[in-house]
Amino acid sequence: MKPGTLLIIAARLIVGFVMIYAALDKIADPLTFSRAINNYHLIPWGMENIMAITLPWIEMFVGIGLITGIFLDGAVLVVQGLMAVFILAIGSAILRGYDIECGCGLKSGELVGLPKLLEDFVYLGLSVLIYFRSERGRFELK
Amino acid sequence: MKLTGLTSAIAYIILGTLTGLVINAFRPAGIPWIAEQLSTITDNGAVPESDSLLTGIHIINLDEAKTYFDQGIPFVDAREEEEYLEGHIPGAFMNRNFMELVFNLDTLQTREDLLVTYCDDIECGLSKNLAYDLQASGFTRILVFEGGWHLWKEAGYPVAEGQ
Repeated sequence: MKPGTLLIIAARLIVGFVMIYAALDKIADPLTFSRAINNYHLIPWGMENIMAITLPWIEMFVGIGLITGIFLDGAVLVVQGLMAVFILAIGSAILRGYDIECGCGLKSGELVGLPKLLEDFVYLGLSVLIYFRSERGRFELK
Repeated sequence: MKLTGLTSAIAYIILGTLTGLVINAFRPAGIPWIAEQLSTITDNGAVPESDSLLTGIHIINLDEAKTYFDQGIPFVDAREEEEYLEGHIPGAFMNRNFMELVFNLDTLQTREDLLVTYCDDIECGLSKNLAYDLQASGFTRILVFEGGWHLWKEAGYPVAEGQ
């Protein structure tokens, strides 16, 4: 095993469990999640509901994908896309001076702010690290 | 089966989307695909002469908020305690504790009577969230003053400080 492989496994477990944990609350209560999305004032035509219905399940499956290694590249690409969207949404809310709940699913009542933004940058960084791992095919299912 | 990174990413998105849609269709907590937007109470911004039919959650503007304020309709400040103490609409309830708030409202009026929620301004979601929470607790006629504290203060309407 190459030295970096353990680090990659740790990163996969961290990001994977965060994705699954974040999905659980949103799956349990899609209406609350939809209202949290609505508060960002970014999604037009009432589309926040369709996002609230589908997004948590995408998070759930890519979380499982990261942990099990099933189509790992695909799972980690989706995580990167999601983190980029979350960073843009939270960043724009901060810039507009919004004082709203994050709707991130990790902590109830958590407000948008720099700590949340940094947290998502860390997950994005870890997922980039996983994508460019040197040892491929080990602990993975294709 | 061998899939490239991009193809398997698309597969994950399709799998998640389809699972979400199917489960949403069959579960009791399922929601419609398109969210219903909160309506304003009138098209022209005028306060309806009779609001006996007004049920659900509606958005009101500054003029309407002032009219309801003058009528003695209770206001609820959805902001943090600190912000409330710095300044609020006179007589507004503080939302320090939700159960306490519900108790205070119950001692004042029935859950079918009108009440107004507000927070900082349109960029603050707390007034809407509080309205949904109150609706879930059985309150049936809630108005959300989206312009909130900032607009009220700018208009030079009465303000109060402290408790």
